[in-house]
Amino acid sequence: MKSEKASEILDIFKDVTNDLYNTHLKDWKANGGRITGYSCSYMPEEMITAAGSIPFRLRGKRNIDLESVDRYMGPFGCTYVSHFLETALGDGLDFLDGMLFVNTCDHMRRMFDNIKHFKESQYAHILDVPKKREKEEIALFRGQLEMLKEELEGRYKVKITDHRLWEAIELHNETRSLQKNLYNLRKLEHPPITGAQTLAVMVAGTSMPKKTYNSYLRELLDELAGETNNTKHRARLMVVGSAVDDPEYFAVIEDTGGLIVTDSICHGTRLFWNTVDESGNDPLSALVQHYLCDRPLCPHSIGQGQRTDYIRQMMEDFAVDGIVGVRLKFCELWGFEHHLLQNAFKEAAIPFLSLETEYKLGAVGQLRTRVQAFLEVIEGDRQ
Amino acid sequence: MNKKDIEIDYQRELLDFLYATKEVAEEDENLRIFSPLLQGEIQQAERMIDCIREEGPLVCGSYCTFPEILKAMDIDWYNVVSAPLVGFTPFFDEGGMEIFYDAIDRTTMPSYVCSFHKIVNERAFLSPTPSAVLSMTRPCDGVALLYSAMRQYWKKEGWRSVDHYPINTPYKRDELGLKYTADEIRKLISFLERHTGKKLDMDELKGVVEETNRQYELWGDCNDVSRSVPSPYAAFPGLFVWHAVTNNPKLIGSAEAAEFVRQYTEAGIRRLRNEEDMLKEKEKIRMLWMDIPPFFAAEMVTLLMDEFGAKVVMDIHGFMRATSIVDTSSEQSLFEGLGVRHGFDSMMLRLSNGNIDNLLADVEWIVQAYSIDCVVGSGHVGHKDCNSSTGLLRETCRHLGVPFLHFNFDGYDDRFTSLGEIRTIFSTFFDTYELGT
Repeated sequence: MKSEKASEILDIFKDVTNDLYNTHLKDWKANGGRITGYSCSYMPEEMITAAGSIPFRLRGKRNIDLESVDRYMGPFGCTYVSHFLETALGDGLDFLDGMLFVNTCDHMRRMFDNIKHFKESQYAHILDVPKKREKEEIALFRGQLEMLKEELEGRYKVKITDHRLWEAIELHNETRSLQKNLYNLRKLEHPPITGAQTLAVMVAGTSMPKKTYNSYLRELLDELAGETNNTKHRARLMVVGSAVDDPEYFAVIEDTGGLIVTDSICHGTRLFWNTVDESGNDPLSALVQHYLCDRPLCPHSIGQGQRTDYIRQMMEDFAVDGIVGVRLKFCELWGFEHHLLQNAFKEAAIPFLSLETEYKLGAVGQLRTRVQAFLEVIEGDRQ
Repeated sequence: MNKKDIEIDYQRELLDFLYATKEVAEEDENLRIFSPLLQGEIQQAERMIDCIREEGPLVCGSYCTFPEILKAMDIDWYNVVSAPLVGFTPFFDEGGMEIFYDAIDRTTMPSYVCSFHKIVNERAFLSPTPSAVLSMTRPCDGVALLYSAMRQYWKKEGWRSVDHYPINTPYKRDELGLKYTADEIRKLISFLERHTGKKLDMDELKGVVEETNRQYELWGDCNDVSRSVPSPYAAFPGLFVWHAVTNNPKLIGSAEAAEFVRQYTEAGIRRLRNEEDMLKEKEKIRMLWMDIPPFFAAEMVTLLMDEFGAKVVMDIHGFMRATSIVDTSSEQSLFEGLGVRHGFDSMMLRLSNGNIDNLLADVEWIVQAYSIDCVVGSGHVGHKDCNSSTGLLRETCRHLGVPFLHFNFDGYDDRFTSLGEIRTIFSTFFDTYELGT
């Protein structure tokens, strides 16, 4: 049973997740602080923090009509990108002092162009992340980060010194360690936290000042220590997919009796599974090594085998019974990836459910039916 | 039937089709000019049969996998996403389009994943088993994963053990990006040397690149001819030249390719000089096409020309950019130049990779230089970047004062948007803007 305090903190994280311009950001802004949006987990948040700004993972409002977007995008638009663009072209993200994009997919690359052209008041920059990770790519990515550093220094009139970068790395590593501790609780047979609650914690981590976030998360971990949840679950699930940032989606899956215990998603383990190495002399090199080479990969990068190995290891560590693949409609990268995983897992007799979703939660009945059927298959296999 | 026999059979069927098509072309005064292109395909298919039998070094490449280097190293290779392997099939296989439909429907990939990749993936067993694979990581999201899918699909024949070199293309064409590209080419050469046992002679490469430079210049001359009003060519005029200069392993950098481009250009000039009447009557509307042509382009262009007098006088594939001419004065400039040619300037790379301003500048220039009446921002289902560029293209066209049409199709599956639907879309568009009246 969770303590009252734990529930309170979880509510705070949920509120932050539900509200783009949440009270923590408003307070920060009211005190003259800057907030910088970024589009993807390949963006070194530490660089933004070292520039004295809050890194804010770009999202869109869910409950809006996509009126403007129809003028800018054809019918195959990723709905995450569509909702983001609709929000950004309105005033929903005007609290941001800048937007940093990453060239990680065809949709996102052109979002940068759209913002540059159609939201001229907004400062935007794009970072290229190579698809490979050898010494030439490391040099290329380092050059990209040096350019970004110069841009931010010029834009925000600050000097991003090595000292500031190391401080930022330390702060973000603390976040990663706390998040990993939270996930470690989910290895328990009866974890004290659900997948939906964890997702809210994770999304909040990209949407509020890091120091405040760490303090809440530390408190939450203290409250959860030694706690268990005695609800009986039909299966332990791992979610594998892209920019899933809606805890409600996970809640629907868990309402059917499955428990999400781990993941490989943009707002999940890929953010924190490894920490940035703090033992070297050069913070930029440490960031390059971490973001390009050491983090768990997504399908943007070459290395499908490594991704499958990562999932298998996770399954073992968290005693996972089945994989739920969640991909946003019209995502070519995850469309291919799920096809590959489905084939690989079929061979290994690992239950795999491939779900397609939109950014705005819908077709809940259908989703529930599919997950229920999947759980029945897992239960059937168990017998 | 073992894999080798399947591969040889397929090449033989292809050859029969090519021989027959060439015979028809040579008997027709208007088609004779395309004979060298067909001869290039014949040579390629014949060589593939030898390679399959000999089991010597053979590279599976793709468009933009630096064919000049493969030629200079005298490496046998084939383009896995090329017309012979995929595109010609419905014409000589009695299954016709059903073959494509089957491949598309069989896969577990979602409906919106590029059908072309689905077909290549499902039909990979037909292509000769290579000793090494080269691929690009751009232009689109799917292409980087296609090779993983193919290797998984083809596991029985051991592709999993075939080494793969994915050529990464940077986003920015700046000093850093160009230096990286040159280094990437050096690594590619080492990879090829390791897997084929052949060495690259820089003088040989310089010679090949200089020859291709001449061909790119001829391509530019040919494009200039199609600026004439009316254009002396059939729709998508640059496509054949693009194929000869950049796509067919046997024609790239060859004297035959140069001769074809020269003759094709001269034929255009001759037609203009003779003021052939049919040129005018079928060209009331001059269009710029901003994506790949669909598989059924031949039927589509006939329909557009016959019913509406609308012709695609330039398209983003057939457009040669001056920056594709490579400076061969040093190794560095040569590698950087090849990087620009294939990593930034070529067909879909220009469409998808890098900043949109490069593409918009092309549109602006082409609309003015080719007296374009309307721009068609067709969106192939796999090209998610095009999908997200429609507003930017529309805005550019508005600024230029030309109507813009966006519609979606599947380049290899006419069940997605049929020819009938395309007819309706264009009819409404032309009526709305009173084009061709």
